[in-house]
Amino acid sequence: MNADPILTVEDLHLRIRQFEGEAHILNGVSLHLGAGERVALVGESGCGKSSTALIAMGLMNGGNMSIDGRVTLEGTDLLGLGERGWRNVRGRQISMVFQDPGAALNPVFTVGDQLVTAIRRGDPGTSRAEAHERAAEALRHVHIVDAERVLASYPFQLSGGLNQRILITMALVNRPRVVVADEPGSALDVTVQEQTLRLMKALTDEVGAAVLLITHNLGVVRTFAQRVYVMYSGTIVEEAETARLFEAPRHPYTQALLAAVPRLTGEGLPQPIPGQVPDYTDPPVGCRFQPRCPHARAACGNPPFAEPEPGHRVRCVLDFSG
Amino acid sequence: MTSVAESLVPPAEDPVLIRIEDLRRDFTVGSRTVSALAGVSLDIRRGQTVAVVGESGSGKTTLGNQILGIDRPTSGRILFEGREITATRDTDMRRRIQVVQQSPYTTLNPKRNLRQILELPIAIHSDRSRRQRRDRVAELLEIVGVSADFMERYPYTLSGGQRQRVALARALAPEPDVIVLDEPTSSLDVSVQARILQLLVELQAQYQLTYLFITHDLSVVRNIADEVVVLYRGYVVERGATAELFSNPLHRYNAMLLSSIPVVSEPEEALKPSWEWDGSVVGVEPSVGAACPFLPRCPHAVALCEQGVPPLVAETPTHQHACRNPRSSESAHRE
Amino acid sequence: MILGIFKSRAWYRYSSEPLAVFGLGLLFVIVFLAVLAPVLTPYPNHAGRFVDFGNTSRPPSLQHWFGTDLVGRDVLTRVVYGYRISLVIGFVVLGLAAPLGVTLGLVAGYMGGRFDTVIMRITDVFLAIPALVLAMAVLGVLERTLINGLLALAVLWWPWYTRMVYNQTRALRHEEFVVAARVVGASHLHILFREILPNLLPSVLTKFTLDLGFVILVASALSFLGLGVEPPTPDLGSMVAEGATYQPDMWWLPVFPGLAILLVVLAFNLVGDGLRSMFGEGR
Repeated sequence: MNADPILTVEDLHLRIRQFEGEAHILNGVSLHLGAGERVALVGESGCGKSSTALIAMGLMNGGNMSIDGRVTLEGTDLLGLGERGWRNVRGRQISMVFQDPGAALNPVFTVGDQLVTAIRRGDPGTSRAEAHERAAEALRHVHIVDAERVLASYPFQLSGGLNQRILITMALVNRPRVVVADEPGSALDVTVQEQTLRLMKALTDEVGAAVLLITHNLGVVRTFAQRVYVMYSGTIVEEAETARLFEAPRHPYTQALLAAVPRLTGEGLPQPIPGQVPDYTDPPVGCRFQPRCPHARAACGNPPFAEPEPGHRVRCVLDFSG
Repeated sequence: MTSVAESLVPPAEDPVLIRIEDLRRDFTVGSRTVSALAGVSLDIRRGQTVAVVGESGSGKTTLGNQILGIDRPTSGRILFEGREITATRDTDMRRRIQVVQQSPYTTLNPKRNLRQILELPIAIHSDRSRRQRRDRVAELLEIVGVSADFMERYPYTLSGGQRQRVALARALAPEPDVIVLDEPTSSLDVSVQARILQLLVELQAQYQLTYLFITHDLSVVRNIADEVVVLYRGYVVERGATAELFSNPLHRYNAMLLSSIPVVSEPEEALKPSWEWDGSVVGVEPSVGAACPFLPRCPHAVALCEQGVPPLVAETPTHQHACRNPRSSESAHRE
Repeated sequence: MILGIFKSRAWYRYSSEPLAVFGLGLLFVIVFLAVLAPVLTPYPNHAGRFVDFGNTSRPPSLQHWFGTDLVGRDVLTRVVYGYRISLVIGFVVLGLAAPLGVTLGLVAGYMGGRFDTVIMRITDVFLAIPALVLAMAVLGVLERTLINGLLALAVLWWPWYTRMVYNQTRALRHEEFVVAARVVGASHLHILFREILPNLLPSVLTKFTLDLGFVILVASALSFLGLGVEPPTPDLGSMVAEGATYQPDMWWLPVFPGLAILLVVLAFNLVGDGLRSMFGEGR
């Protein structure tokens, strides 16, 4: 873990008023990213991982929502920023890579226009010609051979893999400190996803940007991240170095999640997790995994986020690693 | 489970259920003709699970649509128990091949409740009375593990996993022989996926079902299929018994696919073939004409690869590939 | 039982638009007045052939809130009866146009091929001619009766439904549940009317509601141009037209029917917008 976190999220709560009642979507989420660190936030759909990312990008707002807690980027409070303040931060100090490159790029502008705009947003002094030159260079840098032709193309004329590459280039062109990547490449084929992750790794290393990877895919976590947060029903249940988490997962949910992944070694069918994700408007009191947990007992209660070994933290009253 | 050794050299009790002969499906895009299927031949035996894997544009969904009879091939034949069903099929033939689709959000009509959804196939394929149909709906729901009390509910009140169960019940309703499973779990969370996969295997045993499992997820395939067919741009590039195809990938494309699977453990990592990822891409891949379809992406191409589309050749009785410079020959050279 | 509506998810969505709630209230009042016109209006007999030359062209007073017209009829009464006609026109016109347009759009969109080409080219022709011009042309050829007026408006309106339904059907016909119905062996008829149509009803209903306002407006415009309902039937458009001749002295003659038109069009629009947001957000 790096000494100075560059992005911190502290005790984040998100409540949304709905027809069914108030949904407590995020229940005290805390996490941090060190400079240049690759961290994964992993969990199943509806666990709140994307909401966390959207809040960190200032993209979550609505009349029926209330957000509490603190999000700071290099000491600056992000939750207090207005839309104008955000414009100085977003795309410059913190940027985002979305899941579906087809939807994230604007279909009515050429790739060149969009890249040039992004470059000039980061550095308003750049002329269009300079920005265009930088864009072409950036594309060649990500191994796009026919960069000029790609710049003149519209996103729909290009393959999904190429668009993903362009999105990543765009996210990193202003050398941000933090990149939030929401399921990058998961809308694409596995071979393209593999290349996407490799490229992200190389580019963020080069720029020195930290990455918060939002994903449901444990395999992707293992190849990409240095450290992992496991999220379940709006809470972080486990945090560990990646290798450690896969070697010796401690939280029963993490263990169950790993057992549910089909293995390439062909050990037979994976194990399902019994029960269902709890209802956010009426969640179980205390540990939210308790109703589905094979180790649940009366003593469970509301466990703290304990640290049974350095750097490995788990929200469970029992230690199941042994 | 039946091994593919028997399937390629079939014993009498395990006959070919569906035979696909040189199936071709061309689409016209502007002034160009694109072959979604460029001459695919395949046998599917009763009671087996045959996985068709490939990426987008491989033609795997088109192949499923041909078998389901909702699209017609440009040329080639489809035989069911020896009977040709390429162009027309009667109601009973339609009954015998059903489908489970990918998206739990669009596979069920949001405006129809579960009873209406499940009664439709029952009404078409049997002469049950209204009351009997209702009983059958309840029975089907129980079979797939959904409470019969949900009968009057609408899909939006169900979870993704429950919806896929209902879709499975709909496929079972006409008592089919074959179910085409078109990415049935790829939109689900792994914990839910695991339950659906278990259910599929149980139902297969119980009702002697034959599955054509269309997917891009090789980890799932490894654990559920008897035989795997790898498609690339409308061509079968490799085909074989599951264990063999995974432990000894021969075609370069198959090796690339396997090497790009994100896995969660060291033993799995060790199984993945190595692949030299060359990062460069061009905006549009040039068309290759009569050559190996994988040529533009293949770092192992040799001169021979440009001379016509390579035919499928048998490496073993249960393993075929269409590569002019297969991986085994190279690793053999190295050793 | 009826109060249960206010606890439903649909009402929760609808009522998130305060203006839509206002529009619905307004609409209820208008419909209430129109339906109970014989009971509620002060001089129901003024709706027909009635003349009172001793009481012509009076400004608004306690006896005649909206004043009286050139032959001494109570304007308030005639405005309320005008709503009756307007609502009938709206529902009859769209009751003819919408089912026709929806069916054609469904068939063209789902069947494709020749159906698509023929139906959609005809639709395009109708859409290319300005609406009012088309209606005037029809009424110029046919006899000027209420029935013909309604037919003219219906001819004007169906292509819009065809176009909307066609586009949505094109999008839906490759939807997984449609494919599933085909695999199961369902008939085209079943797929069109049981699988696809129910998914289009929300947008058809929204458009229907919005259009009710527009139809009333166009019908009024036709009446204003002298192509609409024949006297002495009280019609809001004709009332505005008649009154307009006597400006600025008898301001009450055009102003009250004009306001009435404004209110009913506004009400249908607000309700339509409310329905759109009720159906709009997902399920």
